[in-house]
Amino acid sequence: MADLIRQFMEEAELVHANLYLVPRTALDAKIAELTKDVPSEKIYDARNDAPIPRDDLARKMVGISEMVTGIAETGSLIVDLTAPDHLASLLPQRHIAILDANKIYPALEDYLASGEAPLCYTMITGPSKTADIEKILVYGAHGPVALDILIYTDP
Amino acid sequence: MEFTPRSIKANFTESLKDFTLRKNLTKATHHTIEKRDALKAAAPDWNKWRDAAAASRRESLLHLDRYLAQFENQFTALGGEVVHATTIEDARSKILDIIKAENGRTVVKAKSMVTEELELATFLNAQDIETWETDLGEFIIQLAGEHPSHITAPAIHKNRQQIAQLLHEKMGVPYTEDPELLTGYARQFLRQKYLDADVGISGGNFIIAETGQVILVENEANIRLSTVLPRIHIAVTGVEKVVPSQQDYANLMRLLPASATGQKMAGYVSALTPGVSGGPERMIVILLDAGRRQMLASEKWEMLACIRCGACLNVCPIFNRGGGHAYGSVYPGPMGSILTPGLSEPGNAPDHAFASSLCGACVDICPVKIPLTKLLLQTRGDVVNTHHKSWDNLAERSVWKSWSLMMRHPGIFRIMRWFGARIPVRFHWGSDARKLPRLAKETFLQQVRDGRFD
Repeated sequence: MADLIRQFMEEAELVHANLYLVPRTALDAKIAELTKDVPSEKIYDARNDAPIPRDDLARKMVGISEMVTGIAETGSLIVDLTAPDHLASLLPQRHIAILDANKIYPALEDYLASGEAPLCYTMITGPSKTADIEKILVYGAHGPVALDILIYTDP
Repeated sequence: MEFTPRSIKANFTESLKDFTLRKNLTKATHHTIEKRDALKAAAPDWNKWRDAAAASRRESLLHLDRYLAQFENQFTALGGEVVHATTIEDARSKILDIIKAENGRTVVKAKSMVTEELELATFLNAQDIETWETDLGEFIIQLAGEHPSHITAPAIHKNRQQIAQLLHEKMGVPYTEDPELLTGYARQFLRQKYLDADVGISGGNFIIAETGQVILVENEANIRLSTVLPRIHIAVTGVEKVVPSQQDYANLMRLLPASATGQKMAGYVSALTPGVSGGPERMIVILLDAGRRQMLASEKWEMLACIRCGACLNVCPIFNRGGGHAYGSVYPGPMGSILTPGLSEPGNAPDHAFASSLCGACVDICPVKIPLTKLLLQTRGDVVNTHHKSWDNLAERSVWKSWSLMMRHPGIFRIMRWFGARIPVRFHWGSDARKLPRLAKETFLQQVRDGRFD
């Protein structure tokens, strides 16, 4: 499993995500540290907060949500679109994705073969980006400008 | 520059003088190829993936109706609607009917080559339905009132100065050449459009027969926003985009982003069916034929295996010199020179297949192993057989006609051979270096008959 986590982290870093590996007990402290400069009314935590209108969500600076799976081969995250929290990974400026280290699959084909995949999902690899102007890479095209991935392990 | 396939010769003559274009273009295409080559070099299984992808695409094409029926069953069982469109006009009017029936006023559109075939944004705007291209490159092209010049990088022909000037003039934003700021202006403008739009229109990179899922591949998140926020989602895709299973799709995803943009994986890959939480009330898939079944029944059927990565454009020496617009068609480059006449009729693009050196770089790079040079030659044959007059290229025709006559008639062959052995043949009269060796006075057969080897 350690190999899968390492591979996931290396690949995700290559596509400009910020990676943090923490024990489950230290998760909340890490989130607080990452968001210490953001006013609390600008943060939407899909794990605890009640659903809010999408226009309001679009004005949040940080969206926090738990991912269903990680894919090590490409450093990708799977968002379940049949669950109500999926817009937290799309509308706010910055997305903090939380991932259980036990839920990392080696490759997309392994995940699809497992039968665990929801019917509607988005596989996220890095923050939103475009290279439509002179092939220069710009982050934050229409989705999140930055992507933080917090992987938690059980001690 | 005229944008019709018939204008290719005049367009090339013009665009070959445009050195800014060539510089912008080659810089961009070479950058993508280098990244793609690095990924391939780092993937020991690349050829295995490529073989599997090639086989999977052909499997879909050889049993197209079966897989399409399977997709339709799955998708409708999930609450989706499937609409078949036979022609471009048919698709346009069916899409318009859906939007009107829903009182749709604003449409946000994702980038899709099939909707380029329909010229959908232009069509809908002309019908008083406010339609926005949301992909940054397409948005730039829409503001400029142009056509995309590359299937995955629509604004590849423009440099940042041109884009800065365009956004300054059309959107009234301050002039800046900073790509981050330019992208930010477009983001800000389109954000509200997604939230306000009634209808989202996308293409479909793949549709999966096994599960009824529509797969959409992107980097910007504009497709996610266009497909989950509006009340209605219409996905328009060609009938050939069906793949049998999720495993076929997973394998193709190892090749598509790498070949298209040199990325190991695209930023967002969405699998959509009805049932997105808080998502559209209706999801409709438009399955467009528009010449595809006609092509499937022809000897050029393998072209339909194409996954629209654009790698054949990036490596093509002709594309890199002329640019995408010179082709005057939605699909430029090697793939376009086969698709444009193949989806309509050869006379619609009489010169496209000839705009190739047949160097084969496209064949080498194609992730689904389409024999592009063979198909280009077949397309040339179609054009010559159906659209050339008997007096076109008279000299060339006569040479080949005579050759064919000689090879089929031993008598004529013997006479010509006799002359061949006695008359020196030169290809270049100014030099001896290109002189052909004289044929032997007596043939091998004659020598055997004379008992020379007894």
